[in-house]
Amino acid sequence: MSTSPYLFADLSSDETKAILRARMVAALRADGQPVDSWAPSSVGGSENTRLDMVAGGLQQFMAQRYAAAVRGRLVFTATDDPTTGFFLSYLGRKNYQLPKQQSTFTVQNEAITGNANASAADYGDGDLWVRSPTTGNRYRLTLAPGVTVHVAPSTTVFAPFQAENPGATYADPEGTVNQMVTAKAGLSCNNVRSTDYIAPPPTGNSPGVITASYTDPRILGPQQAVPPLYSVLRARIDVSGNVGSGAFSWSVDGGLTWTSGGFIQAVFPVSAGGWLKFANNTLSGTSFLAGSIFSFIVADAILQRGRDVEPDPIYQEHLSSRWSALSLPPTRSLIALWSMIASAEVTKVACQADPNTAGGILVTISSQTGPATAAAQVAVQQFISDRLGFKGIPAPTSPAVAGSRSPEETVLVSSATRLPIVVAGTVYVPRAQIAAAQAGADEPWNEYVGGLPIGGQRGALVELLRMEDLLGDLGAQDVQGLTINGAAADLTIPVGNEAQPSGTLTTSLNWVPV
Amino acid sequence: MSGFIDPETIADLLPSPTLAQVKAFLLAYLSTPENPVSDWESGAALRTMYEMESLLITDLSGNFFAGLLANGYADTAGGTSLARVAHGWYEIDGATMTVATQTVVVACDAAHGPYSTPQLNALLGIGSDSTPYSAAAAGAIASGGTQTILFTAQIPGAARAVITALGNNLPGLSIASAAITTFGSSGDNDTTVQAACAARWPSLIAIPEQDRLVTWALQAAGALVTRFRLDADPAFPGGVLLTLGSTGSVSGGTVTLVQALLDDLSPITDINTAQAATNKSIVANGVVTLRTNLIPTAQAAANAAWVAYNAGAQIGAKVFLEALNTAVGDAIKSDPFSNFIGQSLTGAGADGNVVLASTEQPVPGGTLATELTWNGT
Repeated sequence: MSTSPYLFADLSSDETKAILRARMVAALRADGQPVDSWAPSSVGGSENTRLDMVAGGLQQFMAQRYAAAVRGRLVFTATDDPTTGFFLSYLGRKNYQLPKQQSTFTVQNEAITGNANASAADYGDGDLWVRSPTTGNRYRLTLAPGVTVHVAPSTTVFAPFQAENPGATYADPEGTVNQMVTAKAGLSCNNVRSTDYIAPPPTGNSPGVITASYTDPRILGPQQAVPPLYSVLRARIDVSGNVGSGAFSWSVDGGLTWTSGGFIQAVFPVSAGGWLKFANNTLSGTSFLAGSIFSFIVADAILQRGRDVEPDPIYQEHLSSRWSALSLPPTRSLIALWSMIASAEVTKVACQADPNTAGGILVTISSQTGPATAAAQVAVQQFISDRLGFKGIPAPTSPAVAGSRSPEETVLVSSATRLPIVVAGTVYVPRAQIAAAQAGADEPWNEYVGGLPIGGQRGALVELLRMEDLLGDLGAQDVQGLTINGAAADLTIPVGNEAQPSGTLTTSLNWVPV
Repeated sequence: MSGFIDPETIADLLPSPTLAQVKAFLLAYLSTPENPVSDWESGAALRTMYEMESLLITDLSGNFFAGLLANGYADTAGGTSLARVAHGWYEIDGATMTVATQTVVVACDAAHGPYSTPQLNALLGIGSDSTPYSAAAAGAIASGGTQTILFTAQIPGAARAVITALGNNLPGLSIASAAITTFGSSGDNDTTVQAACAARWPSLIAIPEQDRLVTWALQAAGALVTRFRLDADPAFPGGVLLTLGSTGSVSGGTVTLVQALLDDLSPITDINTAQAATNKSIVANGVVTLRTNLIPTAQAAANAAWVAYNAGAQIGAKVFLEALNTAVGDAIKSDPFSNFIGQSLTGAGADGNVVLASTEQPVPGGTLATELTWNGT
């Protein structure tokens, strides 16, 4: 049993200068020093002046540090602070072997177009800069040393442009980074997606090919291409066969639910948006084998989403989840940690057992600024898949239960779908406080909504009360008709959705001075 | 976070204040109109104390504090601090050093002795690495007789050499034989304890080289099982059969040992079943022609290679005739006129190879010296 007279609270709290000084005075008095007769420091009393100095020095340079060091030994009391030390990150790195996620850069896919009068030229790393006139965010052509892009007259090339600085503020949506900073004659720019879908390698061994597009692939002329609202389209072969036979299903919710597509067709319009085109492999007897899953990730102009340094509370949760990730069988915590290691842009992870596939796992990821990119989804799926068990074990040949499948663990990774959160209502605020209330409303609201888990998890609920609290803290005297997405009730975030604040509260709320 | 530094060292964690920073801070307390700090003489009492306390606080908040912090993390702690961190954080207790012992049979020639037990106990054993050992004789030694003496190393640590000489020796005594009885251990040191702490968290990045069931089987009975096979269990949907193999038979006790760990560590929803592989006797046939004087060596070499091949073959896979050709071919190639013909494996298929059932592991039916016909030339 400890014999220390101090509690953890004592050790982890900074001792003030007054306490330190009082202890020294008490010790001196006990030693027989005439402390009460010493002249005050305010009139130049040397003893008291020196006591002030020593107590002040100890408080400034010792007490703070020692208390921070004590707090820094425990995950949920440790913090990162330039003044009192980066104890949390150090604890995580050393005692949990899990470094804190650093800020990363956004990368945009820019279309650089040369008009008919442009000069043909090669551009290398850093030769071109573009910006968003709306946000002022600047991006720089980022290529490996020695690599260039060639822009010829009347042509368009795609190239990656990295944000000027790391962080989540660089999240300019498609079509908004369209101003050249380094103005080359005849060049224009725009951040666009380079293709409709990104298709990672399918699972299973089907020799046939499936492609996907936003528009009907049978029509050669121009069509209105509307990106679908889902993040991934998947096609699963249910019964082996070729075009005109077999059977397949499709899913747009990450593989949670599947809709029968009937027999395998040359071209299939997906009712949720997009088209599938099936092509037999003429060298194979059967082109599409049951169990194969083809994934089509909706492409985006943002190739990589930037993020800020991992906030302390999130990092603390991740360090804590190291314990439940010690198990070799995949646990939720382990899947979450793997996802975040596989792609630095991943900030939220939801996972569940696949209700359709024995041994299957469905993982949904998102970034700090919205849906995860195709690159992140592919990277996370590959990373997790490499670490799952029972690889390559075929289904039993004579199972006791018909239809028994391979025990192989599998994973399907999808991005969360953005769920815009629109708040409406009338707020009554003293006239003098309106400007300040409006200025201060967005940050805590965005932080609250942005911190909510992906739908389907515990706590995935946007609460009206939080908005009322927030407005009250900002000085609102009354709030009437408050709604979230049109309903005067808490909003449960649907499975696979990620809540994102939409617009600014300055305009979405009706601010009435009183 | 503004100003965030990802700390990799104690110095990054919280930079120490400089003496100048401390002095500037403390001086503010003394800089009152009543204290003419700008007029202080060097050596004045208050100035001396100010200088001294500045140095003291700088040292405490710098060197001392950094040392204190370093002793709180496994990779920078040492000695008893490391032992506490390792025990408290990682449940790792370093092994202590143990002493080695050796059993030495000493002989006394007929012209000397007898010697009493206390006389023998005064002997020193000297290892060929110069390590000294103390003696504890089981009894006296007669002239012309022998006695066994247990020697215990005077210094803890692993034994690296047998005793080859006696110190404080008595006339007519010599070492008849010596053997290390207990090897002793050098124990753990700071480096090994730090490595054990670092290994406490499994890597999140490493791709496992084997399935977790195999990892657990090795953990449970690593010395007793050497080959594995995973199959879907036909009896239970989603279940996995782990077949355990070795160079010979795997005992029921070993299977029970493995099954117990599988049950402990598997998710409660998983039905993972361990079972022993059955031995499939592989009999080789053929006629080897070789120079007579080379036959014994070639038989031994061919058999060793064949045994090694069978021991390494996978459960439920194929035993290839080509492996027999290689084993024998390599063994006889020193004779340019050697030959190996009519080779086959009993029970082989049309391709000459033996197909194993899913739970079978190959074991040689006998030795190649007897299975094959060896003709000397």
